[in-house]
Amino acid sequence: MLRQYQQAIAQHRQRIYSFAHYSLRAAEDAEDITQEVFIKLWQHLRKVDHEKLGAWLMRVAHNAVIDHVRKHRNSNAHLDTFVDVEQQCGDDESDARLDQKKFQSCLQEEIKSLAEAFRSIIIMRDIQDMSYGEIQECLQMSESQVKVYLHRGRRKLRESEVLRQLFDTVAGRGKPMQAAARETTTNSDEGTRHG
Amino acid sequence: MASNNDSQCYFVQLQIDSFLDGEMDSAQQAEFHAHVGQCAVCAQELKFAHMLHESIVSLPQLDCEDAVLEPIHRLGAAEPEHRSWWRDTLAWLDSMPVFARYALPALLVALIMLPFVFAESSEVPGQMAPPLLAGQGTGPESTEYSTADVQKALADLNLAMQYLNQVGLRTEVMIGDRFLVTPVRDSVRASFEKGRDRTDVPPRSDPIF
Repeated sequence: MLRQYQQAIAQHRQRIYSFAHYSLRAAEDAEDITQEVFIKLWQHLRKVDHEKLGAWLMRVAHNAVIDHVRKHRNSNAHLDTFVDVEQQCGDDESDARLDQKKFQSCLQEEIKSLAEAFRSIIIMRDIQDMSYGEIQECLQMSESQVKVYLHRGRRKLRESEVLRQLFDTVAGRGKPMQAAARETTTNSDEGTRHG
Repeated sequence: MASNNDSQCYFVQLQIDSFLDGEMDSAQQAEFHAHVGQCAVCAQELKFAHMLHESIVSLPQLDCEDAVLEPIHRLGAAEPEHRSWWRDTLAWLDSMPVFARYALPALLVALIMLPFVFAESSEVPGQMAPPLLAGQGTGPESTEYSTADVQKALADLNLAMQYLNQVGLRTEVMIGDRFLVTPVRDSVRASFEKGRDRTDVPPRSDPIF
């Protein structure tokens, strides 16, 4: 059983930590959630259907995140939003790279500020590449509900003024980010002329 | 015309996610392309949505430090696993396919019940077992009673019946004419009379009367 438990930790730790990290503002909180999830797994290991272990863990993580947000709603959470960026960006980084990182950091912030249902579904679907079926099982929703929440969440991100301004700035400057965006757009819109 | 264009833009922008997820059929795609190709606003919106989508998708999967999970591993190692044949059996059953998980216990129960079912079916229905006579015991615990034992038992029975008769009479007196209470003596007498009518087993003694 112990070996089974350790295998489960090794297999799912990344997914659980990522989910918590992209949902919460402080890295320490994500670590706490990860620990909490695996403690619960140890307590319920015998009862859990091992064929659905991934979905079970994600559901526990999702509930733990909700509880955590409720508990800490009024407290001043330690924000380390840009820590990752600062760690990853050296002095010799180009402006374009910095812009990309800045955009991604802002994006992470915007994702974290979304309402819980939108945020969880965007993280599960777009970042963690989970299938609609898996998300459905984790969140106890129908597939159509998942799709609706996903589309609404994405639309809310597109409505973000910060992201749009950053996009306009970068696009106006003609840095590689804009080129990359143009390139990806062209790839997906074969035969489409852009005005 | 402008309003028609606006509504077209609105619908096209609603479809951006479906387009990016590849959920459109070819006809819808063609219509989408046609509009985006001639509308600068929608093209810009698509570009922004695409970049946003690519940025989200490219966000890395993160992993925590091993130190974070160290206490968790210790927790698992600290609690000794209580092995028992029952848990081992359950674990073995868990590892089997679902149909076998239920079929095996059912088979086991059926095998245990089999001798009982055969024992019951060997008896002729409606026929009772013959009464045992003195000295016809089936096991070592059966004993033959002596005449003294029978007389002592009859004396005890008489005593008990006298007591019950007194209690019955007292109850009749206490309740008076409000309820009709038959004394135990009358009930027992009625039973004996009923028994006397049966010719096969005549009463050999009348301990009460």
